[in-house]
Amino acid sequence: MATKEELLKAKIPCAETGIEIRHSLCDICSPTSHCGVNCYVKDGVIIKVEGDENHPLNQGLLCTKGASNRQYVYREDRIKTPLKRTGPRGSGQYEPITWDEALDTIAKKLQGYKAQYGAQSVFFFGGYTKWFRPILQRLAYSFGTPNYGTESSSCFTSGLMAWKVAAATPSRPDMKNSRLFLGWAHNPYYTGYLSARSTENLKKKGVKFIIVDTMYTQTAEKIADLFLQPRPGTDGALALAIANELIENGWVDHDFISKYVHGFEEYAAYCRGFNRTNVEALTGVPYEKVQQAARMIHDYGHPMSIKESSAPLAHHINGMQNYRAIMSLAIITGNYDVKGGQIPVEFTYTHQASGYHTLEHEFVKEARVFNMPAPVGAQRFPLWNELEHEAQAMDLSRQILEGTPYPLKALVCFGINNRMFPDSKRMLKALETVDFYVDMDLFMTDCAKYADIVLPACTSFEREEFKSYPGGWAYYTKPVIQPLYESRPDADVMCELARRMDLDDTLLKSGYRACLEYILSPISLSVQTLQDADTPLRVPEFKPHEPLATLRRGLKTPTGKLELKSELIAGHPEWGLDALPTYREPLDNIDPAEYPMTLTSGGRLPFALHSRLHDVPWLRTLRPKACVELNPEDAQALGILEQDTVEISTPLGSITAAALLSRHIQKGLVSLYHGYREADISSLISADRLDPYSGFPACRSNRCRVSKKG
Amino acid sequence: MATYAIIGFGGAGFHALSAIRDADQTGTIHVYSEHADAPYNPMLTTYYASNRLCYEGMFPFGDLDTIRTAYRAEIFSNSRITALDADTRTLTLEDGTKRSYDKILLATGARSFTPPIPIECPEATVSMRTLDDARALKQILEERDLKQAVVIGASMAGIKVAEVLHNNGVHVVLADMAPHIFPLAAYPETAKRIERQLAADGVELRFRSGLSAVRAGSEMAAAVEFSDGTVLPADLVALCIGTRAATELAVNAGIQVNRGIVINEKMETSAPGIYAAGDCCEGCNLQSGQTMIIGLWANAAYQGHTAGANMAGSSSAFRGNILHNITHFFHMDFIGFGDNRITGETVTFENKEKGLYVQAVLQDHRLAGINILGNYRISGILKNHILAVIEHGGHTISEMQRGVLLREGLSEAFLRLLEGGTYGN
Amino acid sequence: MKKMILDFDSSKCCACGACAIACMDQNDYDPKTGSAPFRTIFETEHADGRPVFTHYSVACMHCSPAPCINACPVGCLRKDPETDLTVYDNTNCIGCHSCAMACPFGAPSFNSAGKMEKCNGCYLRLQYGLTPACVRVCPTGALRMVTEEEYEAAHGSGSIIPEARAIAKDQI
Repeated sequence: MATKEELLKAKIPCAETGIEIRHSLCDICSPTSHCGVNCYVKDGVIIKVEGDENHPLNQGLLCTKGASNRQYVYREDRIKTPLKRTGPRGSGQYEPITWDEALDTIAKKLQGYKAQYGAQSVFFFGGYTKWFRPILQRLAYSFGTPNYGTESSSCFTSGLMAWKVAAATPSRPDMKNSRLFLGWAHNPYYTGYLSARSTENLKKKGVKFIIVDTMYTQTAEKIADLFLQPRPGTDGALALAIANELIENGWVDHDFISKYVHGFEEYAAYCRGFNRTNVEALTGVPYEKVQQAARMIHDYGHPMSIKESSAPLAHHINGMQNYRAIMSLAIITGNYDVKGGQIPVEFTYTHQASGYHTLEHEFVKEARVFNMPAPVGAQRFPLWNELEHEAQAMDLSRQILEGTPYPLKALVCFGINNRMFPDSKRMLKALETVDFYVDMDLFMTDCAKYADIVLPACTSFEREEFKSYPGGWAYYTKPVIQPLYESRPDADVMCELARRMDLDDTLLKSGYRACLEYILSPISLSVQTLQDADTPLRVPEFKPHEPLATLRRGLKTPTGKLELKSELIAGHPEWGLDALPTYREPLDNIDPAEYPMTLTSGGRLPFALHSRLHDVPWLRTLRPKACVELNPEDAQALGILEQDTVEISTPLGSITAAALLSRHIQKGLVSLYHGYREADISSLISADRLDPYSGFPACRSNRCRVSKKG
Repeated sequence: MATYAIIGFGGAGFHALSAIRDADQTGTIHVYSEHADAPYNPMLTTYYASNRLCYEGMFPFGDLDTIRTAYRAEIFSNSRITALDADTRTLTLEDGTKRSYDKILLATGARSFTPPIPIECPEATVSMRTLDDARALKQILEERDLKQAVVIGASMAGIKVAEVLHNNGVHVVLADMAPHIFPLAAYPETAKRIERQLAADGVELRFRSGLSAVRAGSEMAAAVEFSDGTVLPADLVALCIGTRAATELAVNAGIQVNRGIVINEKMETSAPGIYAAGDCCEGCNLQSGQTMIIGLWANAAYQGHTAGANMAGSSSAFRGNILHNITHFFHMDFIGFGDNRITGETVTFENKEKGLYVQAVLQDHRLAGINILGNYRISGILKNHILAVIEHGGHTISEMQRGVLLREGLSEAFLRLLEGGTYGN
Repeated sequence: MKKMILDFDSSKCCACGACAIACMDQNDYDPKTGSAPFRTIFETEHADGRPVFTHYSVACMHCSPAPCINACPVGCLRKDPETDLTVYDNTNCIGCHSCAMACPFGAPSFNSAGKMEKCNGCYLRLQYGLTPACVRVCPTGALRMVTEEEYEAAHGSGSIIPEARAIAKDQI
């Protein structure tokens, strides 16, 4: 029989050890996940985590990142108290202050800027994850500024905009009912382990897979029936060529097109420019592969769904158009609004389509002041401004530094990281320049060190929050432990700022929970019921997808149809954007002799999530150094051996990283994960190479030079 | 009902007892031990002397009562056997008592070797093999104020004694007749690296220095005289010159003995019904094919187990071993595999970042020996590899092992060299 | 309880490392001590026309018999009589690293106090009806804890147990 000491060491949850299991969610990665977590709690301290077996999403599993939650929560660099800066910006010199002093200072400052420069001079920024987004957006609007911006300025939104252009509504792939899945930059082994499992199950059930990726991923190896490996940023040309092949062979759904699609003829004419004469030169993919892909779509693609990926396709100067070109394949083959195809959806809450309606949009919209000035980025990215009711933060550093079209004086950030922005040094310069900068964060990041006031945020385990999941699920968590140190939930601080500034917003001032009671009023489960359940509940108002219902009702596009040619864009020639999903080269004319290789960043790793996990020691053991991945043949030509120190240079500068030779990487490509302090790839990426449609930065296609260092 | 006799109760004796009892639930087992302690590993003595291991911790199989009960053995402590009559199967004890047996195991172990030189101050001299030796050193460390000690013998035992003394603030001179440290295990280049580190830690090293006498000293308790005429004062002299197998009983019984009692893979000696195991015997050195004493705790376990099983009528074999050593000292790990006298092509690998150094000797592209400095973790995998190379010729390191080696800082290229037997063929 | 096998199927693994992290969480691993984690995660690749990748998560193989047990001079290591997993009590560990020299898989690790630690198959969790932390988390089903009979009845093509057994067979 084991002793109590042994049971405690083994962390056995039982009466003898007093170890209790409490439930929460992991909020480290994308809101499409946010897996249920069992926290083993002893004396108010989390001593272990594992997946919640009763959670409808992850059913007991966790990924690498989620498994590290305990060390993430108890990271030594957690911000412990509100802090006031005492040294120069960036020095990290601070003194602790009380919450009262911090909040009063912020409230007073913001009201001062509003009075002197107008409310638009204050920018509210929301980082990852998205749990507080509606609260922050409402705070910004109630304060009177249009300048609410988020990390979605470089993630997710580009694809969303592409669908809004085509269908005026987002969509998702109905993968589980597909016969063919077109996984374009789809490597769930490294991104979403739950999807890896479902992908494998579908493969076993006989679903066919075309995988398109610049890297030869595990999915390419294990899952693909056909694998296409284009050069980064050439996806649009490849998609248009596949479309052309489909059209020329008569393998499109003319009946569907004639009923529901607008602009097919012009689109088809444009596709003709992408054919056997030029596709391999444009993309690196042999034409036979294009033909095979078209043949597979014809043979198996009824129904076919396509991966909705938020970043890899979008992070190019031509990203959104490429995305449109890819998604057009679903449109011309009649795979939209059908079972097993792309399904139109409504977002329930924070970009999650859960199949039930909430008042999230009303909650935000009703606080919006009419006749506000245009938000940051509106002039440079008019399509973004037309479709998204928020600032395009990729233009933030420019506007701070240049002061046009109007000056920005204050930044109130709930998680900001300069390494998220291209030319991360320029972003720091902007943070150094701006009058007043507040950052609320979990950790004392390099970027937080520039803030005048730093506020300690708490993690998902230390707060209550609402979360919706696909399939009609709603979850309202309880805190698993008390907020550590003096940390608080971000949303509480937002509501408290509303109070201290005495904004004309009773609901916001009544707190997060009251806001959620309002937002969730259309569903028959109360916040209290949800929270008491301590597990996600199925919302009775859940409505499953009804095939073709949306199309028959008519879309909210200008033509009411699926638009291959966007009449919204066509109606604004002054934007200088193309109505068709046109293709342009992803690389610019920087001297290819001096910078012969292509630098890509952001390719996912299973043990990293942007910068936020680089300082979690457990995860760092899996890859202790920032590694630049190179094809072994390129490495050999450059005289580079495994683990050599390598210098990567672009016109913006140079960084060093350890070489990791891998045939996952195609020749000519150099891949470096982002967010490393010691190898900040964002410092090599131009802040001016932005996609004119979405404003997204070109993180994944830049010319560079690689050499062995020392 | 059979009567088994086990002479000597260390690791080999214990494992034999356990194997006999496993195979024969009813036989009588007599265990004779010259001391009153339960089985222990002589390597633990310095740990006990330096309080890094408690007294109970010395005895991995429990105290004698526990063993007696668990294995239903008659254990005769402080019982020296003076004669063994193989023909009549009779043992004679020191007091003249005679006992008969059916099967017998000689597990008499080894004793530390004291050189035939004048030792004028035995009270300032220790050796390090038995628990009594450990008790003596422990008492000295607790009671005396030592300034300088001379440790004779830069072996695995000597270095551990030097470490204990050094950690107690004693200035240590480590001396050996050999040209370098660990002369029976290390290659000269690896030894140099160890010596550099020891010197940096403040240990004084004297090689090619033969001991000629330990005189009573004037300055300190002892004056250590070396063959080159040097005299060093010392509060304490530790003699760690080596061990000699305890073979008198076997020699007198007419059993074949070289340096140790010669055994085959069933642990049978030249005399029918008489088995031997542990540090007193010579099993097969797999590398040379000759018999050789390989004094290792685990080796004694395998030998003892094999002997016991065979004595009780099972059929068991232990093929032999290779020379190998691991010692962890002064925050260093030294591991050596294979006979370091074998010469050939020397290949080395260093990973400065990980503090790892490996030297290997290849004979006709076949791995013949490895020295590792600074990483214990790769040692078992590399031992597995060299064993396979020695026993089966060519061998490729499996992927599951290779990944660990690479993670620990070795390189693909060096691993291919270590696989020389198959690489390129 | 029956003899248990901690099975690992490399064909199901993607080297994501979730098992390694769950193991660290379960065992309070502290990288600052410089000790090695219990699980080593890696990918190997071969260019055979098209590249072939294999993924591994390697820890204690719970050999039977286990060479580390004989190697330990202070008797820290033993077989759990319930499960046949190789478990330990490191109270008396002197940090001699002899177990490491005996282990053909590089499993033993040493903590900041110099004492041996390694995967013990979460044998107490098993006794309480739970699965080992690594098995519990494994998103691709590459790791599983099964009885020996279950293992012999069916295991995946990528199970490394047969190879591990062959490797351990001659280890001394």
